[in-house]
Amino acid sequence: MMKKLLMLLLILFIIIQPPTVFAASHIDLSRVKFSSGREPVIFTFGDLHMDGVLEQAYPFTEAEIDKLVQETLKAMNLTQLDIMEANKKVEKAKRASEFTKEDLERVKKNMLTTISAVPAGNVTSVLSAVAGYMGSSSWDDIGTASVDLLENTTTSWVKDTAGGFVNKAGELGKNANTVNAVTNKLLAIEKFCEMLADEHARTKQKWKDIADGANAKRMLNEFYYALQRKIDAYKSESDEAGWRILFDQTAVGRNFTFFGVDSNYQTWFLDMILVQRATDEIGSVAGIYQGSYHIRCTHEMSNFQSRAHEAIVNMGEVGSAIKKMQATPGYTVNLRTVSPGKVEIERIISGFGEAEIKPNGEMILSLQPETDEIIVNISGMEVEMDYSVAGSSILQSRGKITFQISADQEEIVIGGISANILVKSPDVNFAHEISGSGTVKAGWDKEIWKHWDGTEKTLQHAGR
Amino acid sequence: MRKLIAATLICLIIVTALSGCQGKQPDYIKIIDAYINGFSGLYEQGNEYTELGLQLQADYAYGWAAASVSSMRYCIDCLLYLAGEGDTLEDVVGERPGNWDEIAAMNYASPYPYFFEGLVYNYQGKNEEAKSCYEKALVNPKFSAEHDESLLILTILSVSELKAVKKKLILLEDKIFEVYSPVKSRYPRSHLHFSDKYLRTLAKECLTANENDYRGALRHYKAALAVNPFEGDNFVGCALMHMYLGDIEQTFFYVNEGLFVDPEHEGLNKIAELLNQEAGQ
Repeated sequence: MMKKLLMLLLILFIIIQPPTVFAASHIDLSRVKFSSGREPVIFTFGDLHMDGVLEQAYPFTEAEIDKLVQETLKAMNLTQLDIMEANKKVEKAKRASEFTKEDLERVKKNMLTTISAVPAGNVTSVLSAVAGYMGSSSWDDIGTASVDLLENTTTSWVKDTAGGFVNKAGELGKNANTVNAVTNKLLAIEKFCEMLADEHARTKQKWKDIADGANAKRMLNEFYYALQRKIDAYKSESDEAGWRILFDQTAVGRNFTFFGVDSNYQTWFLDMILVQRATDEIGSVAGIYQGSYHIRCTHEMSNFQSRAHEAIVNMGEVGSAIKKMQATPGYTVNLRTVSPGKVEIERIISGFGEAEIKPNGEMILSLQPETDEIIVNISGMEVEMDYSVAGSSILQSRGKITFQISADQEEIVIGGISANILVKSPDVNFAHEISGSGTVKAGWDKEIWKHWDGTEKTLQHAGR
Repeated sequence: MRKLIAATLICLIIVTALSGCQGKQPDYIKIIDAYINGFSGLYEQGNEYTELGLQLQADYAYGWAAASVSSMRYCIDCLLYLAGEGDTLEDVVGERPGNWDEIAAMNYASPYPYFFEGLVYNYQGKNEEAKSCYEKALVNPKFSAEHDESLLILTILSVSELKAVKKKLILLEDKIFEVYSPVKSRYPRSHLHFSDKYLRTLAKECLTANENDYRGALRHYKAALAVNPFEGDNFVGCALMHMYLGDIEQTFFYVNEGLFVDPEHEGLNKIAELLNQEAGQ
């Protein structure tokens, strides 16, 4: 992790060598270098963390280059199979961009160790290599090839034929028959002359192989030239566009308790793009990033709705009164949710964001909200309460109260109270029904925003 | 009237006779034309190699054609001079190549410089020198004793016939030199230098004598490559010597060029593999 961090901090372009084989497996990308192009970052508010990326706007990665390869192939009406076939016919040894003296020494050493048949005798390394990698000549040729050829020059056939030429030249001027003898072979001579070029083209198959190889080389050259142009253009665009911090519909969620009811679920979604505005001269990730962010927070409140009778005891003065009744000896209080109603709570925050990535990798984030809107829509929730006071033969009392819970902002309202009250005593027999439409404000549970409101918002590299 | 008819008939006879003479080319001239066409085929092959981007092979074909055509033309220049044309041989030759060694060096694979040099000696009655040159041409398997002896016919051409042949040769020579500039070779002329196998052996002998004499060996391998740029072993030799000299770019060049023309060559493929391994491919 530390290594990765250091790379991010110092780098700027984390250069890695491309592998020989990747998606565009038959394409020689030995000249192309890639940047890592993408590093994970974490946005934290309260105890919540969201995963984003610090990436090049146009990442110069293998995947991107692969796209360019595919585009180039398509433009040239080629397939990877064509490239593979062409590669087979042509360049086997790829040109190394850097080949050190030490590399060279290793190759020499490896050459000697991989020679299957080391020539016999006391031979030196270079001579071993010569003998081992040449196919047609053996070590025994030394001193004999020249002897064979010299022997040929002195064969009697050569001497006789050469002597014959001398004599024939002398006769040609004197004897018409000698001229006729030569010219009679005209057809054969013409055939021989026609074959001169063919002789040098070797066998037809050999010539075809060479021509195929050369054509393949030309095609490959054109392909790599076109690809290089595309890569150069893309790299230039990539360098110019720099880096960016990106959170794309990134989400984080948590269970939370609302008015004493647990297991509700809150989800935060973040879209943020901060683009590098200024950097150093080598195009590093360090610099100032600016842009916008948009946060949406949604809630799943089914537990709160179905357990409204638990929630109501935590709602302001009404809740306190119910608790008081429940705590008073002789009182029996039964609460039940008769309607879960509808609950919608959403928060949308958007604004301007700025981050600075320092050369040591430290990130400083500043978010300036431009809008912060909370949408609350709670309606139709009903809780019924039965109560009775028992234990006195003189006075008896019992009743039923229905509470309607609603809210259109961060303030619960309890209203629409209706009650049936019965009072019995030896002297009085009183029964009365009360109904009304009064409301009581019951406040808001601020726990819902505890991770956002008043907390520090930070950004950091995932490896830190 | 009779006189008029007789005159007309005489005219007709003369015209017919003249036209007959003009159209009939002696067979020995046809032989020479056949050779010029053959050399022209090599030039065209050079063009074909050039078009395919095979420069080493193109130089080989152009060089072969040039050594053959120029030696034939220089031979004719010598014959013309010996027949009394020009005050000096240089007058007849002009600016064109006029040195057997220089002409032969365009491509030692061609046997014709030795043959035409011998023919000039032969014409002068210098039979021993002629025989020696013919022998050197005959050693080269590219030389066909059966067919090439017909070129001795040059010795019986009249001056006008020689001039006519020279014109044809100059046309081809100019075409070749328009696309090919012979590099002045420092590699000495020898009747055995047509053989790449022999030249490779010289390279090995050079290394045997002094294992660090990479430059000396490279000189022989390059000469071998010049006379046979189709043999993978010649590319191996050049690649290895450049490697031992520390010139990696040239090593890659010869390995790749060699694999073009000899894709199945085991040694070249092995070297390519080792280079690629080390280059991290």
